[in-house]
Amino acid sequence: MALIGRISPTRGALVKLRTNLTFIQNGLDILKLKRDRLAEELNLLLKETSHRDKAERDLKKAYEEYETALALLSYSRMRSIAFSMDKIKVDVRERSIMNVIVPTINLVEKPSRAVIQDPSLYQVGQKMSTLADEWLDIACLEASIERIAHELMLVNRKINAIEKVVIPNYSTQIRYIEDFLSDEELEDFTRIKHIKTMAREQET
Amino acid sequence: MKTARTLFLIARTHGYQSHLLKTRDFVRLLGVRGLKELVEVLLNSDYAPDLSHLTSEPTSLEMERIFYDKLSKRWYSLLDAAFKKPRRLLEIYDDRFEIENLKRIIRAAHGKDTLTEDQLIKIPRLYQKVNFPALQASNTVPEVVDLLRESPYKDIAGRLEEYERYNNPFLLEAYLDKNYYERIWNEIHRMRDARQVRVFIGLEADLRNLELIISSKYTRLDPSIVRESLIDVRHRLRKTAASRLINANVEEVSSIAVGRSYTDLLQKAVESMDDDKIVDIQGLFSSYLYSHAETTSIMNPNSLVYVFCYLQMCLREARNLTTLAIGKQLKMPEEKISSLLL
Repeated sequence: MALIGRISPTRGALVKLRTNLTFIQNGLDILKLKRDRLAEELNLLLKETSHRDKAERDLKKAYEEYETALALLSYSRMRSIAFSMDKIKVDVRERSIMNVIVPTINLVEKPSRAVIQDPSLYQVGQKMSTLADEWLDIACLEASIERIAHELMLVNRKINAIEKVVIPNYSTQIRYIEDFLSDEELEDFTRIKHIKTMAREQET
Repeated sequence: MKTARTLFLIARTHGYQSHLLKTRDFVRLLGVRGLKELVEVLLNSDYAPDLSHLTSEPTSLEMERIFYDKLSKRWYSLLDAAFKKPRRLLEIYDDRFEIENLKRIIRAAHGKDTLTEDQLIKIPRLYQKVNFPALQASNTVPEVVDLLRESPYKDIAGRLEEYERYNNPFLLEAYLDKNYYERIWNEIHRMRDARQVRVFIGLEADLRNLELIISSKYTRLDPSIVRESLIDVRHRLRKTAASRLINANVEEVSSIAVGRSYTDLLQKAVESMDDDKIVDIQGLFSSYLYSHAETTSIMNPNSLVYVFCYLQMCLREARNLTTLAIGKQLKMPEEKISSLLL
């Protein structure tokens, strides 16, 4: 309402406001489309996280085995063997879903277990290596879900703001100018009619 | 007939032996609630001077260092009581720590990592045959090998080509073990009246070979590397039997004739591989050696072999205490830690 005092109630302003409102409504439609698409994508990604529980159980088991191997081998030996292992190599890329950048991680090279000669550690390494694939996928998935959910929240806020604040404001302004202009028209009409009546009376 | 010097060494070993922790001590240690309590209990033992320096919140890593430094001290302190041939033999036997350190240095160089001094087992400077600071500063494995050319491990250079072909530091580590046992074996053959020591060291070498063969089934190590890495000590494990074991499948292993005691051991090793649990092949073979050492030390309290049995007992104690400390830090249940002890 505060805006109303600041706008000039002219026909030009009315045209400008109407054009802006149409533009905002078009924008709102696009945002709604984006929201639907993001929600759809989020649903698909959430379905893929169903195997997370199993992965967590497997990781817990592998970690317990790692602890056993650690107790058997000692920190120093474990660390020393870890020194000789190659580093894991991954390829991190980005893709865009409705302008939301999500990561994709591909395992390029797994460390070779050939340097491990202790069966207990080899066993743990084998399990951890299998789990690495799975957990990289889960990490990507969760990062994507997080980013999409964040974007979805922003889009929703924008839609709400447009629907509940911007459009009603514009509508109020347009209505105010329309009312003002129609009052002016009525005044002009009455004034002209009065002048015409007065002119007619003078003639007679 | 033993010389007075040998008898002195054995008598000293008997004295040192009384410092080892007893089974009842381990039972008590198993019952402690945490590392702090573990340190408190160990303050009544031989480890007290070193453990007393620990902070109020000890870690298992600090404790592991203390246990292994103590182990090294125990091994090297016997050299002060030994003379002539037994001393030469013990000096070579004590090289085990130097070899373990060399393995760590090689692994670090292979992984292009740097190794700090506290990551190595402490060895008295007098008995160091290699220049550790220079080796630690090496960035590549060929550099490490180059620095070893004036040491007893100079022939390691012959394995460098193979290492580069397979890109596996295990080939160099296996050479170090092979060289170690072969040097001991040669030294024993220079001694008279050392039949029991020969049997003991022969058993240790055989067990190492069997452990390598069995582990290779699990780790899928190339048979040619296994064959090349076997310690060339002819004891009970014949070369033909070892070859057959290398070429056999896991299922066939226990059917190969390698002597009754070894067959039982192999059977156990194969069975443990079938379980879904962690395979502790090293523990299985070490446990066999330790129990043999225990029996031998009881049967031969006045023989030179007693000294070697004592050294193995020290090794077992350090290993068990480390397992215990790590287990307590990781809050493992008492039964689980107990099952991991040898």
